[in-house]
Amino acid sequence: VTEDRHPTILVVDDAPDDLKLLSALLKESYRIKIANGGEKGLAIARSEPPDLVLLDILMPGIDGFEVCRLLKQDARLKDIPVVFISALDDVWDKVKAFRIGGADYVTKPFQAEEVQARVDYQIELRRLRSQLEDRNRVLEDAYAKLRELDQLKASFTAMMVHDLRSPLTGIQAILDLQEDQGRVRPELVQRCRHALQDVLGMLNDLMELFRSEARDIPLNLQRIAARAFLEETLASFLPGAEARGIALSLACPEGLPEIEVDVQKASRILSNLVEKVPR
Amino acid sequence: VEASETPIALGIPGLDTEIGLKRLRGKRSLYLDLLRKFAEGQGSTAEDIRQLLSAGDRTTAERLAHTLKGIAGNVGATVIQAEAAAVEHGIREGHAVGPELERLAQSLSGFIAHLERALPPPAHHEVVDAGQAAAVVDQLRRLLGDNDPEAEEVVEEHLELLRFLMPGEVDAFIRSVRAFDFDKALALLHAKEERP
Repeated sequence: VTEDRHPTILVVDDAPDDLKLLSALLKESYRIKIANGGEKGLAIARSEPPDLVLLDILMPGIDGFEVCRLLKQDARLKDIPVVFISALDDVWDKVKAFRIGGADYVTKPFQAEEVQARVDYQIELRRLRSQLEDRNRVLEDAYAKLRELDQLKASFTAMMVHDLRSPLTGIQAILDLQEDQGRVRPELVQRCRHALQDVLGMLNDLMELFRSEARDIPLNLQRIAARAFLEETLASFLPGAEARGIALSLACPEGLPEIEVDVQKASRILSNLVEKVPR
Repeated sequence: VEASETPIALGIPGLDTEIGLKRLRGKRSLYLDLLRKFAEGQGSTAEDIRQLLSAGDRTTAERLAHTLKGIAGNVGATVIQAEAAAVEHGIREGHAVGPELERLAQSLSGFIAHLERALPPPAHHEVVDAGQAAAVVDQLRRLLGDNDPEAEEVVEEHLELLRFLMPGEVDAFIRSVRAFDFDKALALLHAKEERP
């Protein structure tokens, strides 16, 4: 066991004999610091916070109760367990000791085993508490990550469903064209169309569902010439329009600037607009 | 650290070595150290209390009696423990404690005289070697600055060396280390080093 892994105990007592005895009893399991009064004890606790404070109550200057109160007011020190030292036959305020944040007390004359057991217990309790806090932090991080993944999944699914619609509408347009030209048996085309409409219906329902769930959809921005982007989008409509006898043409001024868009999503928005027009 | 079941028979009236040792899980050398410390530190307590009372400082007087009661209890000095408790109680209740204090003073001086005769000298055989002086002083400076109680043990081990090193102020230095007043001990050590 290296020195660093020994928890540090600060013993605060104005009686040298008590300091000697307590440090001799505890030095095998702990690193000991001593303070011969309340002020000194506070100064040591503030500069090098210990893992536990053994604190005499009756001291000249700042007494043990006051030291404890000041420790508990300090956000950095308030979780350090304080074990009071008191004489066995003393009339003293145990209720006050616990109310101001004392964790336990040991009585004089000291019993070596009792002192050791009470200190060990508080140290172990503190170790377990900090372990628990660490685990809680890990769980909270994991939960936050899960939520993030869940959102990502929702936006991804919504996008995928939307993307599926485009090829399906394309197929529908082609079927329409084939039927008009009389190349396929009409009842077969009919069956295809029904099936396609079913799928489209389902996808539309799903999209509605995801639109309500998804909040942030990440954008994949690219720079592209505005005209090229418009031409590309329009091209996917040409077969369908032609089949219905609708003429589509692109009219836009020369010298349009480059634009920065998520090509897939922007193209989907334009498609949605164009689709509405002939109906 | 030795732990032994062998009782220490000092034959001092009012000292229950069995209780004292048992409280320390049988650590004999720690027990003897504590008795030595008691003999060094508590000789004047009854007189100190009497002076504080006549100066009207009942709070400090009560605290001294309280402390004496505690450390007497720790070593198994049952008679002194009871008499100190009586003095403490009397002061707290606002009584005059003349007779109780007188009894305590007599028991204390008799008890400490017994202790001084009966206690074996501390078991160390130090060879004073000027070459190791710097190392000891370095170690002490580090331990005192770190508020590490081991400083007291190092001082007890090197009494002769320290007497050789700081002839003038060694008694004050040793006293403050034994009282665990490390700030004062460190100041004395620094003062000594700053002088050529």
